Amino acid sequence: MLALVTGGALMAASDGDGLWQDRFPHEKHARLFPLCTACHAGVTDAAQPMWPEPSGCASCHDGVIQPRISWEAPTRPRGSNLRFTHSAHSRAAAARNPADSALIQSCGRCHTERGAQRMAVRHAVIGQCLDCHGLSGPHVEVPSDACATCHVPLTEAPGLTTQEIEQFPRPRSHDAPDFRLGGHGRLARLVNRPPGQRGIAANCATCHARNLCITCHVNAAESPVISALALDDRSPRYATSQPVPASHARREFLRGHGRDAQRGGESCATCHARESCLTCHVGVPPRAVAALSAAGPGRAAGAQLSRTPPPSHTPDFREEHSAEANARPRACETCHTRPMCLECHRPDAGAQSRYHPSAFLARHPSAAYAREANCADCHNAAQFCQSCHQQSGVVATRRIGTARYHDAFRGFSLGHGQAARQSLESCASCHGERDCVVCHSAVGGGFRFNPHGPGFNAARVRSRNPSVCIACHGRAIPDSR
Amino acid sequence: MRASRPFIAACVLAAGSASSGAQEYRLRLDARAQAVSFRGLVADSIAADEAVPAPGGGFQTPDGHAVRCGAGSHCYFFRAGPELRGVPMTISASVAMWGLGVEGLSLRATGRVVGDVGPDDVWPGTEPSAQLIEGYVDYQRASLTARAGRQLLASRLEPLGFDGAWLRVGWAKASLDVTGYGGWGLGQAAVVAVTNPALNPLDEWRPRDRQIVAGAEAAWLYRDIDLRAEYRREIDPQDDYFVSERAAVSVVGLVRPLRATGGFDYNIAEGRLGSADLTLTYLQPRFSVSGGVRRYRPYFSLWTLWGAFSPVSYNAVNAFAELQAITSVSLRARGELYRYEDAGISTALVPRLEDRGWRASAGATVTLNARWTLDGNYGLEHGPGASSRFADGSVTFAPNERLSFDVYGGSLARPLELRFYDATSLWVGTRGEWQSSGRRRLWADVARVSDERERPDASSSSLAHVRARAGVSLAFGSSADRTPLPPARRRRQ
Repeated sequence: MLALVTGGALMAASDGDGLWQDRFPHEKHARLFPLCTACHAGVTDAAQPMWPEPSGCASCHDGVIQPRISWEAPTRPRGSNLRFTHSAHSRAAAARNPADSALIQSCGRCHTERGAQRMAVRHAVIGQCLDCHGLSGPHVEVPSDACATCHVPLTEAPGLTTQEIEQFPRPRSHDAPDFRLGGHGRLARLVNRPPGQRGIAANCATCHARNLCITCHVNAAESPVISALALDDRSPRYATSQPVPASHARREFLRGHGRDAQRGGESCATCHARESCLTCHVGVPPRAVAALSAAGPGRAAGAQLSRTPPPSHTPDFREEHSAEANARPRACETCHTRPMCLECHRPDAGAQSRYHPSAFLARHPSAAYAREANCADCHNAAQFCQSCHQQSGVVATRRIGTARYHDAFRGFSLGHGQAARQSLESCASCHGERDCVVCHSAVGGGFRFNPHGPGFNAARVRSRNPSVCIACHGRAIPDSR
Repeated sequence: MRASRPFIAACVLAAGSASSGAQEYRLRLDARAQAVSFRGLVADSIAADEAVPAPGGGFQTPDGHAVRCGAGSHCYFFRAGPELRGVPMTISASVAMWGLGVEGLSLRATGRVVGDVGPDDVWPGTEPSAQLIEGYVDYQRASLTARAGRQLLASRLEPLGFDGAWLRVGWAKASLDVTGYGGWGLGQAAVVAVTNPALNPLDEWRPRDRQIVAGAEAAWLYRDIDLRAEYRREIDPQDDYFVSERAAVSVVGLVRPLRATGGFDYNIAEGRLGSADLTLTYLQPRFSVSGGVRRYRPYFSLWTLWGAFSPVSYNAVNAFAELQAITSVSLRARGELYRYEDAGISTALVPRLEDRGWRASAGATVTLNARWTLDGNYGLEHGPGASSRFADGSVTFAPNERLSFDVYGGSLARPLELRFYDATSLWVGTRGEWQSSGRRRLWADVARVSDERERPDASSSSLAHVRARAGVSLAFGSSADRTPLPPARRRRQ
């Protein structure tokens, strides 16, 4: 599941309750300092320091009048993503509404709650900022384009540390059910983007850098929205695995995902690199696959898939796959290259068959006689069976009836008909047709034993190929009607 | 060597276009060799007056071989032949290239060089020495796929090789695919034409010209149903006679959790139903059960006489079950009963032969852990022609993803129905395999096999020998193609 690690974050210059601690007891000194600028001269004059000198404190905290204290001004500006300086803010406000400039210069307008005492100073009261700028609602829920009023993109706020970024507040939109899958993309896209403006919503850029997106988005480099963000290693990343879209749980997803990919490849490209598809698609990649980005730097690695056989591939599938392969060849081609089929269907002499079990050479008569499978799907009977039987000395061409190979059956030459019709392919693995026509032919000295069995459609065979008839009947083919 | 020309041309084309920047390719090379021995029979004869009466009746040679004596001057018999040794070797290459400058265009070729370097040169399938299995140009657009060249057509009407063109057009709205093809055919289950001498070891009659093949196929793919009908004819161009004319229907349907697969073929030229089958499978995550009916009838081309002898079909019922009893134990069993149709033969002179049979087998796989796997099988077959009883087992040790070792063994008993020649075999062997990064695989296999051929006379024989096999597979591919070699060992979910 996508895990947004932005939760609990605190945006810099927010209400400050959880982050900012007043290092100076302003309220105790309320009567001593009628003007804020007495200590923070830099607020109104950028040439002046923002913080008082510690020696100024020592005029009272000398160990006699008041206990000594140890205080030092911050040595560096506090990390912030505000596009704000006191002087510029004052000038801008005065320019916009001169009548309001004095009020704006009242520090309490921003730094104290309404109705609070003058020196009940807070870091900044965000509600006051929003009020002045005409914004309503919680700070992190203001319209996207309003963020840029006060904030620079995260990548332009180098002073923020990773820890500070991780404490940015989490907008409620991030808790929406569809936020992780699709929802955040819709929010991130700028509709009617003005020329020159970033391609991503300002509120995303305020808290996130591209590093977050490329944790999941394989197509980060091609996405104008994501590309609008700069890279920044301080950006949080997703910590856990990606969610599986609901569409992937559909029963027919496996079969239909190719069609879906062709129609809307963009959504696939979000999580899948080309390598995801090539886990299974081992042939030349379909166009939808080729259109995907290959894994590489600047993008997510993509969903990592493992290739496992589908449920149909039971241990018996080796025997039964022909029906499915014939009816649905494209499904096979998804995961199997043709050389894999050819290993068995066009076996080579140097290979040990992966189809047949061990010692099949010794067992093959029982499997071949009653054709446990169709041998001719893979083996040419002449090249494979006859030539091997010839080497084995069991081929009987032109010596039929003399050698008595079938010696377990007395009188086999007279009673071979049933065996022959039951397994004619076995006969043909040792005997040539000439062996048979010696007795079955009606010409050339044959004994005219009729070989045609029940259901023999002589007329049809003759109409298709009369040469078969001529071989035994000569030109005097009997009337087949 | 004619067959090798297209392959060489394909390789040249592939090499020539290798400089194209956008080109991607996949190349797989396999080299394999095995050393095997077998002992056959040798036909022999003696003068009729040298034959002596055999103890059980009939005659035999003085040294105990049963002989057949006719009216002639000689008696005939078979005795065990010498041990023959073959060392077939194969080097095969399969290449696929795409990104050739035309979107959707790819080139695919598979070929091999083969030979028997053993002392007796006996192994089948080693001629011709250069073989082109496939070599074609493939062009794919959204709804159209076209191929030209040597192709192997997967079909219910047996896989068919041909040199020609193939075109498929898809009509998505109607969920229809229509395919048509035509060209010059290769021999049945062969990578050479029927006119090649390699397909005629018995010097039989063969057609002078290659047959012309043409066919069409329509597939309806709707939800979980695939229905496919096809028609194919083969013509002898010399006289325009039919070599074959057949049609077939295949279907796969899924109504979860049931899956149905089936189909049939029809021999139009002979007017007979060919083979057919229907299987229903009930699939569950931990078990599956299937049952089916099957009919098998052999098919012969019309240029042979075999079809005129009216081969009969057999009809069978079968069942298969697989159960994953516990995570580490998988059990399986399969059985089939079959019976031949009436052969239409009746004579009072000879008894009827077997016309029915059955097959059964059971097995178990125990996965002790990621490293150790045990597997065992036992099977029985009884039927016309031959029977068998076998048991085998293996122990696999895979110390890591790349390396595995097997020790295996088994035994077999196989009596024949029509000859006194009962065989028993015992074997034990070991196999090692190393696969590196999905791109390289080496394997070697050595087994000792002991064969016994029992007969009630002196023609019994035995042969104890060592079978050795070894191979290497290499896969190459462009950077965007990370397809590894297929897993050597099938993985289960």
